[in-house]
Amino acid sequence: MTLRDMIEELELCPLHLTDELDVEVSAPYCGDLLSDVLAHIPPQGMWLTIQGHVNIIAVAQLRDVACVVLVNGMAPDPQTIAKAKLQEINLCGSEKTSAELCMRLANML
Amino acid sequence: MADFRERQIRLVHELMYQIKVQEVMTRDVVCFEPTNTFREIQRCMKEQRFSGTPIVEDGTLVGMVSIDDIISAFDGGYIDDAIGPYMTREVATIPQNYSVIAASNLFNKHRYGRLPVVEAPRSRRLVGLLTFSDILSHLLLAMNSIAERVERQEHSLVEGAKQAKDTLRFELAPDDFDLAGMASTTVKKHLKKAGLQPDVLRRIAVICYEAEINVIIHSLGGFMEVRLLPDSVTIEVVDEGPGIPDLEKAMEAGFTTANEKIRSLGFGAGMGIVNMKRCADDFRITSSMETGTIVQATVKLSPDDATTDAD
Repeated sequence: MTLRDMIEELELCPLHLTDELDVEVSAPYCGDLLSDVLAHIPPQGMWLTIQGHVNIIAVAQLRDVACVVLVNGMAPDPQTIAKAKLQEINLCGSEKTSAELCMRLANML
Repeated sequence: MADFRERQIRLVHELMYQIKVQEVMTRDVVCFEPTNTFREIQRCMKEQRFSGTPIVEDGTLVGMVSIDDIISAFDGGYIDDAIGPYMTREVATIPQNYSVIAASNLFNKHRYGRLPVVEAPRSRRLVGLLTFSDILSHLLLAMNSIAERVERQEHSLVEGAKQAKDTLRFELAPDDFDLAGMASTTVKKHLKKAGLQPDVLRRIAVICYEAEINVIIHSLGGFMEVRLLPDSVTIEVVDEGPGIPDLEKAMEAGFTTANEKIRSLGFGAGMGIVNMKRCADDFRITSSMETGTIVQATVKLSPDDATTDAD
């Protein structure tokens, strides 16, 4: 499923989106420990996390993450959105928990 | 998706919590007195393209007149009357020193077009006027200036680095979490342009990032040097100390000396050295109180990677 379709189906709130929305998302990954995500997230994965600080963008860039989704209604720091713009990383938000999003995805795919 | 707008507005609130109404409002406000007529106001509205205006008496807010009131006046045939008896007297206001979030909440809850800004919480002294689009414009400006600042920082970091054709060097400042990851992401961009394959790039990215973060979190500062050789990429990260007291323990999965604040950001999983070792073909770490810590890693390139030169 493309990122574009996922954003619509999961009702994600766009915080910063690039032009590359037709990327095929490989799988979701839930993680809040940066080393863990860095080591294990699949390329073109969708990263579900509560971490909203600027350092998530570097991790997303380094692992070619298709989209970072801040769950539980967590808001990003202003610098995070600015950094997402700079590094061209897709960033979204959701009121739902990562579990809810994953269960929805499981039903969709 | 009415829900969608709720969510967006809430996120905007979080971003704007630092900004005060007085930084965003229009100070040069067109206002009228109770003795002005609807027609006078209507003419001004048409010329100057606004849709609502505060009514003041000696600088004190006494009411508001909006386009709806003008239409009613036309309809009711009292367009040439003084507004005094007809104007809305119960007007929502916001003090200038309040956060823009408070204003945003009011806009969202009551769907006001504009909010007159008063001098202080219990005052009716008018100092400005605020609309929701003022807030949005300011938000865009704030974000652009943050983006510019970040871009300048990255630029100076890259400029300051010694850039040979095949060597990248980055100075790493201690405790600088705003710039953390900058060296690694720059290395990745550079090596991607050089034509390295994705899986090799990812391994190099992990090594660089973990080493960079360790220097920033735990050391007094240091540098990273990445060299692109014909058949491998070498990564050397050196810091000024204080050194790792128990290296064997530090190399255990899950062991960290990061403090609570740093761990709350998601750092300090205790997997840094383990991950670096796993991603490298050759890996060496040495540390002492005298010399600080030195990490040396090599990632071998296959024949597919080895052919392209770095730009």
